[in-house]
This record gives sequence, structure tokens and C-alpha cells, in this order.
Amino acid sequence: MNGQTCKPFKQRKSFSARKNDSECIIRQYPDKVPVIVERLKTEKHLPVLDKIKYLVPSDLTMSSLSSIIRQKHPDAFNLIYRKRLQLSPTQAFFLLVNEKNLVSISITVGEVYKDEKDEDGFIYMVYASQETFGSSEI
Amino acid sequence: MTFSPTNALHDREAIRVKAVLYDGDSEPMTVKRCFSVDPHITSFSNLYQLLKRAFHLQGDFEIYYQLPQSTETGKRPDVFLSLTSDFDLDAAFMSSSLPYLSLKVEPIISSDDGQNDWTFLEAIEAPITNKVQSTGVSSNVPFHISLKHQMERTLNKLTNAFSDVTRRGPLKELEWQCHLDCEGRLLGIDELWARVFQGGGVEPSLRKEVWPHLLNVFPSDLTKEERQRHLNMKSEVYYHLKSKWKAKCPAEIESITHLIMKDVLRTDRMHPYFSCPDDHQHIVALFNILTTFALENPDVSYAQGMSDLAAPLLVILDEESIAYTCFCALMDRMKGHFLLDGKAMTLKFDHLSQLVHRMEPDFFKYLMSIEAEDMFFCYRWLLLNLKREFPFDEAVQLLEVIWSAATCTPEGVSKGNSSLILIQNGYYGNDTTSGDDNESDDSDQDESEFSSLTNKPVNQETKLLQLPGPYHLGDGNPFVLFMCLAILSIHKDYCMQKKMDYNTLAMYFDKLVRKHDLAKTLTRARTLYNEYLSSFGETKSDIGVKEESKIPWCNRESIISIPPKASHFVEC
Repeated sequence: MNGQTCKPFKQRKSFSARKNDSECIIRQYPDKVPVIVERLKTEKHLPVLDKIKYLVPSDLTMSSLSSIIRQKHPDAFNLIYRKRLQLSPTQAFFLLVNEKNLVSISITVGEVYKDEKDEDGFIYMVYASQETFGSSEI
Repeated sequence: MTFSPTNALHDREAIRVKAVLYDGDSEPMTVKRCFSVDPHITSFSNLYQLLKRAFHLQGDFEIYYQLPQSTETGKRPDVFLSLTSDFDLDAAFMSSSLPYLSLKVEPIISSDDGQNDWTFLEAIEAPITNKVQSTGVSSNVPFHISLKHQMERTLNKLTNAFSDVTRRGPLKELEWQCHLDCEGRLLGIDELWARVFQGGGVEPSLRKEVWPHLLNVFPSDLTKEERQRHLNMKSEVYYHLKSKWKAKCPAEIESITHLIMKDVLRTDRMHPYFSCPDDHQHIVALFNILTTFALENPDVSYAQGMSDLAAPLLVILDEESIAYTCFCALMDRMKGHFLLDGKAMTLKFDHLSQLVHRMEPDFFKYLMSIEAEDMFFCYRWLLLNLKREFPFDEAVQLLEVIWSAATCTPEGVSKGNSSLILIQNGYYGNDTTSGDDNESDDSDQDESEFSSLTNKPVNQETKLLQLPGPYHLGDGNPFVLFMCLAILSIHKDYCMQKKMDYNTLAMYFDKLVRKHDLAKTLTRARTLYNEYLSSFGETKSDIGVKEESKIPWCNRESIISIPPKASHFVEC
């Protein structure tokens, strides 16, 4: 949960360092896409991932990516999270590209990268849940 | 370091600590923590753990402490010394803890080689996913509708608003008998579903008998007697399952039963059936149903919202075991909503978003402007098939309509498939498939309406064709999405006029819980659904699409067939 305390990736490194980083990794793994996955700033329910930099095969679909990411922390997402916050498992998990776009889950990461990548060569995604299902009864 | 005599450790029981988190860069973060420690029992590792928890740090970090006030300036110099051991900590306590110990915490950020911190993801890590046909929201495409079309639409909406929502009324006793042969076999489940869908439900007296059919509880071609035996058998199974967990130690299953009880006690208590003391048999029955299901289906377990789905079943069927059987059948369709992976819900959000984009483009633009095009604010609608959006009795009627509108069930294309009939016959305007038609005036009116729809400009047709087909849209029950769309379409003008932001919009719809008008919404939803179906029903090539999609889950291999090269782990 160090989301509040850790700065987003973009603010941790200078543009040129990031650019350099992405170029370097893309040269080494041309068939992979460098993805930065962070928690949405306003997200309160989901815990922070301890890894944010992912190299993803470009033909992976967004739906697969989403399910892999959320599997990365089964403990966090299931046990602790449900027990401590007393939340139901109905909470959804969403990956948003550039903090706002919910892209179609069937397109590949490569396609998303092509359209949405940042100038620094990374593609930025955030994950979020949505808790609109309150108990309004009595 | 300056030692002041008043600073002797032995007479101080607590030392105030102010810690600030720095983030590597020069710019300090505003995150501060203040706490007190007992200098006699606080070791370096205690402090380290304390700070780790205080700042929720996960990686390594370094601690520095600030030098005390200098006697000359009266200010604390901006000099920090590294704090790495018990020895340092003692020194810090002694020298620099007045008026408080000022600490700086700096997470160690891994080096910049950009290699070590990469995580390699592989396709094989992904769980098996359903083949999902999705077209992607190609936003920014302006949605042009010709003036003529717009006028037609307005006209349609007007005529629909004035026409009776239940064009033929709910399924009646006499008609129901027509759907059965002499031994009580159901003659055509498709026709039954189509009839219920069009009529907007079932007469209340028939619900007990018809609901299991709407939920695919029975294998096909059972006589009335065989169906009764089937239900008896299911009931026995239920009582066995129930006694199994009843025999368990209550503490063993307490975590789940507690959760269920909490929700059961506040589910539909306004309804006469449940407005009784907490230990009344009706409440207990609802609790038993949910607990049995949760324990028998550990992969789904229990989730908030299930009680809302089970309650109407119990109220109508009024028998615990039958309600359980129907609940299981219903959960076969809906359990995806309650699974942790959230895939079913994500898909529905995606489809609803596409639908609004295509069918209410102006509203979609507005949603985009307030960043609500994700449709998350419709969560409860989708999760519970809108059960909570209408008053109980209307919600029950709506559930019948929604169940009978399913195009796909988990076993494949739905056994009863009203939409198939609607498509084949060019929707209900030309419907001749079922029962006696005693309201010919209405259907004439419908026909004229549809012919005007079919003359729509081509671009509108193609727009709608970009949507997932009826077998895929809404994961096999497109009509739910159209109900959502109808609600949005009814309220959109008000929302846009008031320029609601995201939160206001969500709250606005929250306040409308149980207050929507079913007749009006249903009418609007049908109009929109017609429009959608018509674009699919007309094109012959679409038949091919339907054939291919008949078993929507058969292609699950294809989605994860990643070239072998990519699926090897890259060692790093």
C-alpha cells in the first residue's frame, strides 16, 4: 500500500532516463512491449503491486494481461483484501490505459501500445476497482 | 554532536519522533508521520519496522536523523546523519531528540540499469478465457445520423410511449395450457420464452409453474409427472446437502454464514414475505439456500448481491428446495458476475459502453466528457439484472422478461431462445409463431413501425452491426444491456441539462433505486432492442455468424494460441 507514498514511475525518473530505458529494453526484446502498471491514484480498495514494470508479449490480449496482473497477487486480492475490508468478491478489476481509457479486452497489447504509448516509449496503465455496490437496505 | 545535560536518556520515557518520507528526488514528499517511542526498549530494528509500517514501505529504505538545534542560530541545521544501527540510534536519542527526533526516510530505488526490475509476463500465465467477440470502441468516430432518421426515431419513440408496454399482456393460464401437450410436456420452449418476453412476464398465479422453465431447470420433453419427480429428486439432493453443513460445527463455517446472515437480514425486508421477525422461517429459508449454495460451490462461494437474486425466487416459489434448485440454475447463468476475476462484469461494461456509443452517441459524448464512459456507475444494474432498480413486484416481472430473453446459457445457445425467434421472424412485429393473436390492431401498428425502421439509412445499420452479435452481446443476455440503455436514455436529457459530474451522476442513479418506471423503461428498451436486432436480422450473412457462434465457448483454445517462441520464459 505504498501507493500514497511512492511517486508514479514518470516522476521518479527523468524523461531522458525513461526514454533511454525503453529504447534499451525494446532493442533487446523486440517482440515485447514495456508496460508500466500502477495503481490509479484514487484507488482505495486494491493494494499496490510491488512490481510495476512488465515486459509483455505484444500479441497478448488485454483480457489476458488483466487476468495475469491480478493473479500476481492472489493473496492481496483475495484473502487479505476480502477479510480485512469485508468486501465482497464482486469487486471488479480494471486496467485503464493512460488513466482513462478502458480499451476493448480483445485487442492485443501490441495494438494498444501502437496507439497509446507515451513519448518516452513506455505504455502506461493503471488498475482500479469500482465499488458502487453499496448496501442501501435498511 | 552536542550533548546537553538535560538530555540524559534515563529520565525520559518517551521521545517524540517526526518522520518525513523523501523520495530520492530533491523534492520532498509531504508524507509525515509523528509518533513516540520509548528510548529504553526501542532498538534499531524496531524503529525500522515501525517506519516500514508507518509509510507502508515495501522495499528497502534508509533512515537519517537531523542534527539538533545549533546554539547560535536556534534553528535545526539541514544536516542529516545516517542511522543504520542500534549505536546510531542511541546517539540520535541522546543528541538530537529535543524537542523531537526528526527522521528522514528514503526508499532505496533500484539502480537505473533498467533490466533487473522488469517482470516478464507470458501468455501461458493467463487463465483460460472465454472467446470474446468484441469490436473495440473506436472512439472519435463522429456518429452521423441523417435528419430523416432522427425524425423517424423520434416518431418511433412517440408511438411507443403511447402504446401499451405489454402488447399482449402477461402469459395467461389459458395460453399456458396451449403450450403443453396432453401429458403436460412443454411443446416448444422457444415459443414459451418468446411469449413471455413479448408479453412482459407471466400472470402471478402461473409463476410458480413457469419459472423453472424460464431458468432451464428441466431437461426437455418431460411430462408433468416426470417434472414433479425431477423436482422431488432435486429436493432430496438439497435436503441432503443442507443436512451436511448443518451437521458441521458452526464455528467451522462461521465466516461465511456470518456474511450471509448479515445480508439476508436486510434483503427485501419491506416485502410482506420477509417483514417478519429475524428468526422467521422465511428468513431462515433464504439463509439456508444461500449457505448451501456457497458451501457446495466454493469457487463461487457467497457474494453480496446473491441474496437479492435468491429472494424473489423464494417469494414466488415459496418452497426452499425448489427455490434452491432454481437459484442454482440462475447462478449457472450469472455466477460470472460474482467471480473474483471480474471478467463477466468487465465484458458487460465494455458492451454497454459500446452500445451507448452506437445508440446514444450524444449521451456517450457527454459521458466521455465526465470520464464516465466506462459505465462503472451502472455496476449494480448489471450485477443484479436491475433487480434493485424497480419496486419488488415490477422487478419480479422484469426478471421474467430478462430470463426469457437469454440467447446463451452456459451450455451453449439457450434452449429456449426467444431472440432467435424474434430474429427469424423479423422481431415481434411479424410474429406469428405463438398463441392466438387477439390484439391485431397493436401488431399492425408494430408492423408499420418496423417497416419504417428497416428503411433506415445504411450507415446506421452498419454502425449497429459493429456491435457484438446477439449471442455475444451482454454475454448471452443482450436485453439486460438494453434495459440499462433505456434507463440512461430516459434520464440522459436531465443529466446533460444539469451538467452532472461523475459523482453527481452516480448519486443521481443511486437515489432512483426501486423508483424506476418499469412500463416506460421496458417500452424504451424494446424499441432500442428492435433497432439492434433489425440490423442483425436482415443480413443473411449474419446466419453464418450465428452458426459459428453457436457454441461461444468452443474456441477458447484459439485465444491463447500464442506462438511457442513467445510463450517461453525469458530468463533474466
